[in-house]
Amino acid sequence: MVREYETLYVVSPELDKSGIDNLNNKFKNIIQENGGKVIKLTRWGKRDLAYRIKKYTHGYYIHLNYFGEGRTVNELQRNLRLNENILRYITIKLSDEADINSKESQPDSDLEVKKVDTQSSKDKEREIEEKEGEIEKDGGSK
Amino acid sequence: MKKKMCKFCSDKSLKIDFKDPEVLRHYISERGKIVPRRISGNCAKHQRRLCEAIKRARQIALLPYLSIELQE
Repeated sequence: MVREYETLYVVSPELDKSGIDNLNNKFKNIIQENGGKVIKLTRWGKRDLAYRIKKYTHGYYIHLNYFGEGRTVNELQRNLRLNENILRYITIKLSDEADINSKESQPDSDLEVKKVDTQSSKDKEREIEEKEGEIEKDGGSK
Repeated sequence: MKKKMCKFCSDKSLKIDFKDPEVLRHYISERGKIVPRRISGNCAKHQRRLCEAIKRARQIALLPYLSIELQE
């Protein structure tokens, strides 16, 4: 049965651009050779890690969206696990049943910078801060 | 006391996604803990999804498990 999955993985910052491209192509081939179909690969670029992994503070994030079967995911995850340049990976099932032809493959792309509604996010921050203040007061009175 | 409203119920365009740490960041404390529902005012449904998304984001280092550790 074909399902839709997404996999996000973090590549070591020591690899150069061609090294990362090689890895990406390798994983895309693994998906295709195991009954899957890649919908889209998105490069998020170099990002800060929230915590250090193997002493690295940065990593390249790659997002893959694809159709596949159980064996597709098994094989992909096995390869991600064995590769020493992969710091972290996570696979999420997006749908229980999917038609492999329902979405066309798209070319690789870099992540577009989303327009953040600065006003509303600032409001939210303020609100959360206020609320955190409240709980501190609560804690103090106990 | 101000009435608390679930942000995700009132703003339908706001999606909970583990890939979007900027949204999730509003719901973790300075120490990196998940803000409880009684503080954030989220409804049960969205708090569950938010919680799941934050934990996923932590796994791939988009969000910290502990943020105090880095400052020390």
